[in-house]
Amino acid sequence: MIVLKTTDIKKTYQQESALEVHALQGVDIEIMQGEFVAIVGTSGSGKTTLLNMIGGLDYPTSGSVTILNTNIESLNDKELTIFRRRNIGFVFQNYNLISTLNVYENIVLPLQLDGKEIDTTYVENIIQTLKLEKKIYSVPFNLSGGQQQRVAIARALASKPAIILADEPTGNLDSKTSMEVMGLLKMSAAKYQQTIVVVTHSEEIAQLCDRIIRIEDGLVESYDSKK
Amino acid sequence: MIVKNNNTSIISKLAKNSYIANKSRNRLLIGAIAFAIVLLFSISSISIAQVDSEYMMYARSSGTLATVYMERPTMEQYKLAKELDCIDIVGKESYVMTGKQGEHILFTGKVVDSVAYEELYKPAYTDVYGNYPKKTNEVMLPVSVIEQLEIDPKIGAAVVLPLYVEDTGEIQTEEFILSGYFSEYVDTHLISPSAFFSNAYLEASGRTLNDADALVMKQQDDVLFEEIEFTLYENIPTVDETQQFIATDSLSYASVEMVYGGYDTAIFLGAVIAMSVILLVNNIMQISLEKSVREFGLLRTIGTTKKQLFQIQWKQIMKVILAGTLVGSVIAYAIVQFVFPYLLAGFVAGQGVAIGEVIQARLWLLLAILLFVALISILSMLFPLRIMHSISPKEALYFTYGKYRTRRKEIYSKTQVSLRKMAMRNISQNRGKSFKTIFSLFMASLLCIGSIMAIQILDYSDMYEGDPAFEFTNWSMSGDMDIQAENTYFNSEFLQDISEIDSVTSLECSYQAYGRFNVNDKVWQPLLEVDNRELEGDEYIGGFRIVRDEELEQLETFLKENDIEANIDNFASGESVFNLDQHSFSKKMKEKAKKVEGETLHVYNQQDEEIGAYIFAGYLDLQTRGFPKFKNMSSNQQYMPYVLISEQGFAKLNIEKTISKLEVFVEEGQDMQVYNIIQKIMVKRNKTASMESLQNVSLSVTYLAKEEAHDYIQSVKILLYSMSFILMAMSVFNYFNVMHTSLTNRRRELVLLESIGMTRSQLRGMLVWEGCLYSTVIYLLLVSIGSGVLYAISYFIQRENNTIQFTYPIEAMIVFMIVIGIVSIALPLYQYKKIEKQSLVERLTK
Repeated sequence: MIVLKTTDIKKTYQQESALEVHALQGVDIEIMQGEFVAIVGTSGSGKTTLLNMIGGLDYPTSGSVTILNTNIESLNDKELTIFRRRNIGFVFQNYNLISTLNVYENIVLPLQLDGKEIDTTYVENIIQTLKLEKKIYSVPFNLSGGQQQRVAIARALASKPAIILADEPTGNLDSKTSMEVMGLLKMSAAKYQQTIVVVTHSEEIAQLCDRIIRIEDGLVESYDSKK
Repeated sequence: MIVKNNNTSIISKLAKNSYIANKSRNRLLIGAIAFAIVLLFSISSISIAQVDSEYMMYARSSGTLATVYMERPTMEQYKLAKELDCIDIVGKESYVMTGKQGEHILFTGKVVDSVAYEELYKPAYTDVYGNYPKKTNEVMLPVSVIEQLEIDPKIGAAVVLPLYVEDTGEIQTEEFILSGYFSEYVDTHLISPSAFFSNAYLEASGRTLNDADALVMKQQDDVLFEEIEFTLYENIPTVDETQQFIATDSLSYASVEMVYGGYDTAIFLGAVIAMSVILLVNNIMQISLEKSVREFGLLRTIGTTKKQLFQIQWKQIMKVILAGTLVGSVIAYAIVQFVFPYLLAGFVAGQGVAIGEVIQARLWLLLAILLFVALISILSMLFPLRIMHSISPKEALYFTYGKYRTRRKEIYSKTQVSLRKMAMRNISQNRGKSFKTIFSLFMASLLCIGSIMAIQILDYSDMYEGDPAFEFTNWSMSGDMDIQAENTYFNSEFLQDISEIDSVTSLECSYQAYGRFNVNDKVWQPLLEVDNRELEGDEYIGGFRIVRDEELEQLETFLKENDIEANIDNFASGESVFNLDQHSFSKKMKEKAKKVEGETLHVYNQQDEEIGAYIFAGYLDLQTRGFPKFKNMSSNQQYMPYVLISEQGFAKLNIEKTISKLEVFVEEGQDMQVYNIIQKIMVKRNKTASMESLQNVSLSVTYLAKEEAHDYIQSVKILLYSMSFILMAMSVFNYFNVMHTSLTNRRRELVLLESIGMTRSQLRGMLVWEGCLYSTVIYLLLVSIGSGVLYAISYFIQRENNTIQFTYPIEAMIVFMIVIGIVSIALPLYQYKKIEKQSLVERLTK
């Protein structure tokens, strides 16, 4: 099943010097359920921009993004926010945890915002998988970078989204922790049949994924599949 | 296991956690709200107290709150007056007798109805004991009369009053019972105190209040006397041409005009202060809540809707506003209710008005201010949400105030880095924030300087500046045409003695002159018609007011502004004259009076020889708004000729002038010594002066008057300087907050600059440049726009009082500029010094 499809996505930024920056120049991608995909490109290639379009965090100049057969451009602001809450999980480079909530509260936040009943079994399972049992009452300030990123992953998994988008998830981590985090992502993808898209500039990280989409100058160069 | 959950609890939790995590921010916000409330409440309470004290002084010096009168009213007119919306109070009054001791008038006896007594007269008195008279032989007297008659002030005591009988001109005594007494503060040179008799006494003489001599009324506060008179004439038919409605501006209007130059000025100043408070609160809130935008961006990313964000923010807003308003109200109330009265305890303005008692904490005002500040705060604190509407969640995640501009030139520049250019870039990058910061600082600075300027303009201690140290006045009204200058009190010997006093620097004389006029001249017919007296030609004596050449321009301006068609050149050359009128004419009589313009006015000497003839240019009403404030304008008797004539015109008459006013100017600090000598000279003169001249002369001693007014002057200064201090504190507080928050938000930027190689002295240099740029922009604004605004404020204040001179508050401006300059530079350096105590690594990783 196609979880995500983009059709001729374009994004142009207008600078104050009247120069236009074409961050995306027409990107078409399709991602199937359960895939663990890497989007790779050099700095300024448009990969993060693409991720933001996919996640509904920013709006394309033209083109469309469809997630689970829903064209997200057709949604108004509230609908998009709720859609994002229920169907898209985010993992950021700088973790972006709520500093005033503890680990457990950060993890279940999207569920609580939705007013959903919390499946505590599932949540506990995630916590154990990501080895956060001893830290559930800690606040982000007291966690290491790796621990914070695991919390972010747990939060992204908690709402059982259609897709998890990770933007340079290992960018602020050392190599050992990076591998650890990527391992957890891969395992989560397999265990929870979770579709995950990772944006990275690191070839080494990208090689851990099932498929690699290479992007350069706002255009997809190639689709490399490892399967 | 499935756990049920509801959406509300997470909203409350997020709100609570955010509130707890931002304690210092919340304290700042609470402080800003409380400060705004204290500021506004203090300033408005002070302003109201100033106006109230002026109001009470006006009321007490005139002995009544009534400012509108109708003579010879009918019952029908009384009813019509009561129905008018612009009239608040209507009472009835009848004159019964005059109390006189020798030639000195003790009191004017009247009978008034309960409305007039309770609502118009009693509020102008203090220490009222007993009751309004009811029985025929009861009387209520002012304490000043009781003291003069040496009566024991005891309710129920018998008092013997000397009463003047008009028909015979004799004084008769009559015994009454004292039903009450009160303290009054009227200026007895202008009016005599009132004594009250009963309605029964009036009826015993065959009269009732239904045929009252006058209606005494009070108009609504914001209605000018011209409007009231117009409305009365339009709505109440007069019984004949001469029946007149006489009004003056309401005491409230006069008070506001005295303190602020008018309602419009007061509103303008109030709006400026309110605007400054809005900017202050808004500025603090927006800067402090910048971080919230990023927090909200993150929440939006996770899936929090705008409504949920609003709820999270709203819960925090409510807590802050509740705390801020509570703290602010308590402090504001305490300051106004206790601190100000304590500071002013013992100060008494004129007419027994205790300033400390006039200031009170008005709860309705406090509530209004609370609501106003709460509203501004709510709107300001919703700023993060307003931002969320206009940007994407991604932009919100990385939000800072304003946009960054890239300058290709600077990026690729190969020249050495310029600290000044970096400082300019930093300020111009955040144009929105910089503009708001500079504007609010400018407004706060302007307000402070403006208030200092207002203090200087309204500083009553200068009211005596330029005044003579001593002022002799000849109060003679009747004008004895035979009197020679040598026979007045101010004969040549007296003048020489005074001028020869060592420390006397100069003498200035104002003159009066009298002439006889022809009752048969058409010019005088309107005046005689309202006078109702039978006059023979040789009895028709009046005075002259000579307009000096330097005063002609003022007169010309007045004539033009009031569309009076009179040729000023004819007047100046002595061909024409005016007659000054004490608002004697009704509307219809005014029209009649216009018809005699152009007629000839004859002047005669004591021997009945014609000594001058002039073209009559018309009657000028002394009560007209904006009438020139000629120096030493004396009052003539009502309905008597008081001819306004030029110097050239008077010279034709060859009439002896006598001195009406003698001003003695003295070297500074010598008042007391000169006073002692003057007293000796007066003792000497008194032995040879005539009885009449002795009775009509008075001496006013400025330094004694200054001492009397000392309390009032001091209290006004305390109030105004308190206001100014509060405004100054607000300005500085705002400036501190802006600079402090700016630096705090830029910690990361500063540490990054340091990490890539910028030395600490270079960083300090950059911060100093930024401070200099901020203060330079504020200086330019103060000097340009600020000067214009200051001039406008002073123009409004001076409008009704052209004796006040505009003084540019150069000292205040310089002091404030120095303060801004120091703070701009010192504060960032001090802040940076605190920051750099931590190591570079610690600051980078934090």
